[in-house]
Amino acid sequence: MAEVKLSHIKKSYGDVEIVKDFDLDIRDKEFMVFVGPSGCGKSTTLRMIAGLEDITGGDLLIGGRRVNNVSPKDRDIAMVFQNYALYPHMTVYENMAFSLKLRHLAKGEIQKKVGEAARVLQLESLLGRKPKELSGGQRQRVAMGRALVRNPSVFLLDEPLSNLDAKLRVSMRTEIARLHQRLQTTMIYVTHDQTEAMTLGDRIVVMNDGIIQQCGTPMELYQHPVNQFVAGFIGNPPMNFFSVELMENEGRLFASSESILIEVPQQQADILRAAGEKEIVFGIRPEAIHDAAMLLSENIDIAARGTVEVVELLGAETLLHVRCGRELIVASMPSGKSYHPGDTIELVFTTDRMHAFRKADGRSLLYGKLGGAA
Amino acid sequence: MIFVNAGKKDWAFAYAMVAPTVLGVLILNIYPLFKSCYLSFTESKGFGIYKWTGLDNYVRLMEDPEVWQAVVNTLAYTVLSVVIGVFLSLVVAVLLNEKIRGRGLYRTIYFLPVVSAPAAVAMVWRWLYNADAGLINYLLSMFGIGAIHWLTDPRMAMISIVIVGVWTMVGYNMVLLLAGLQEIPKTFYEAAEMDGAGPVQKFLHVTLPMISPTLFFVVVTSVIGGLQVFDFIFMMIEPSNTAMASTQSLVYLFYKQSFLMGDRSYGAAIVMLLLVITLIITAIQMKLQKRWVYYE
Repeated sequence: MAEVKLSHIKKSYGDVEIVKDFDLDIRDKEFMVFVGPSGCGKSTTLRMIAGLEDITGGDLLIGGRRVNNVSPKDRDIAMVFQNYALYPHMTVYENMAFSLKLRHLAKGEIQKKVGEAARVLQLESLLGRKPKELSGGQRQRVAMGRALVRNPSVFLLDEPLSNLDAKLRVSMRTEIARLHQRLQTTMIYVTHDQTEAMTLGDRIVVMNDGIIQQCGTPMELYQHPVNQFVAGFIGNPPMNFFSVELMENEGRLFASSESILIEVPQQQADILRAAGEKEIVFGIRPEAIHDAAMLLSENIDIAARGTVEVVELLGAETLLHVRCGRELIVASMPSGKSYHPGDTIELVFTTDRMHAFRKADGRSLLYGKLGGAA
Repeated sequence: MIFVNAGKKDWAFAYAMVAPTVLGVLILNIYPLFKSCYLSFTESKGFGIYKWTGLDNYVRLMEDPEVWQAVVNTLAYTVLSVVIGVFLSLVVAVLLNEKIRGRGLYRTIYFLPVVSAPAAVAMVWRWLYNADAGLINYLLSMFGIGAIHWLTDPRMAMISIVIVGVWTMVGYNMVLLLAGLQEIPKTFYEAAEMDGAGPVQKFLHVTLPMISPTLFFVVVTSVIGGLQVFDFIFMMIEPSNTAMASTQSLVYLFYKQSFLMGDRSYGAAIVMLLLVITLIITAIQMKLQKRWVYYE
């Protein structure tokens, strides 16, 4: 168990900077998730922590010890790879025992550690099998077991579920969460899947272009994204964005585009007035959009009218892709009412849950200024 | 699966596409195989006339010491050339898989013997091996080593042939192994490094098992190639050479019997013997692969 401190870490290949000024403290026993699109630098950062990539600049401390120039095997860490990287000629037992043998542990101790890890990961019946005789999920558990036997201070997991099918990914995700609760060890997990990030992480780091965009708890990121990138990346289906003009009318502030008209709530309106922006990017999550016909209140403001283009039935909810002029709005409706492509629909927004981003750089204009924001 | 709902035209087109290859295999491989098998049970009377003699050729073959010497020579050449050749190919491939300066140039140099004409290669090596004026003996003389009769000493001739065989084999096998090495995901080495493995352990526990399917292919094809050795013996050892008996391979003996002595039926029996030996060795290799070849 150890905290990991990344202090102004940089990684460059020649003139190309892959990771820029990465500054982060990962707490002891924390489950930290690095998430971002391909090429954002998340795996490179993890590999620098592992010692598989040289650090161009900055300091990396594990358990208070600077490890920039320490070899991977001496960092007291273990890593689980996306493709499992199991030795094909060794049995499950031998794969798990390999690192312990290299450390010259006594045979009895190796048996004890492997047995314990196998019990935790329910691998006891598979110990005599070779990797090719295992399913994807079993191989992934062996890869976890290989890391587990070393009892490391920090677990590094590089997209460990990406090679699994959707159903297995969900069950393995639960197993990893359970394992973390049981082991109470620092885990750093890299993924491009925001659902994995949201469900597993104590905190999430969202990265783009080698820069930390935002670090926070899943709900902080979801409710109070610092910029348009984070707002669009976190959440499934993603947030709707519209380019709107801000207009004053009788002391009320409205956000409008060709097909949308929304009255901005008082608290947000004051902040936007103070920001002095005339044109902004308005953001609203699909679950904050409602079918006017389904609301009981008569005193409602219709934000947009449109035609249903696509209906996605997900069981508990229904996703509607609604065409409103040039805008395509995705709305999440509770199941119950049936919708069909071609239906006309009036949409109401829960404007209290609106987001506003500066057009020039995508930064949130409301972040940190509303109650509850970080 | 594409042709599940195909019409007659599609089938005709498909057959037309595979016909050249199928015809080639039938005419150049399958027919000669059966023809040789038939000939091995006959006696050649000349002018294309063959008389059925049953197992006579095989009885003669069993009692012919020249045949068994050729079997020993062929197996000796195969074992030596495959063991040394595959080992060197692997070493060269591993070295040339590293990021070293001039890697492309080295790869080209090692591959050059593969694209060189065997006759030209043999001529150059004959000169190198020449006991009186050869480069090798000249270099050895600088260290006070007397002239070695590379191609005429019965104890040395086989080794000389093996050296040439290995020299021509390394480039081709190196390319295959290099392709296999480049297929090994980097993460396997990284995982081994995190486990605390050094270079030797990485080679033993990552490189070797991961490259074993390619290595198996290289061994099988090299063994078959070794069993068919002919050209270097033909071009470097003259029929009157005292070392001929200790280098003569089964294919060379087949050539001698069939085309120098005109006994094609007996030559066919020798080829059948080689076929049986090749099949047995390949079958053993296929059986043994389960113990050392690892498919992911």
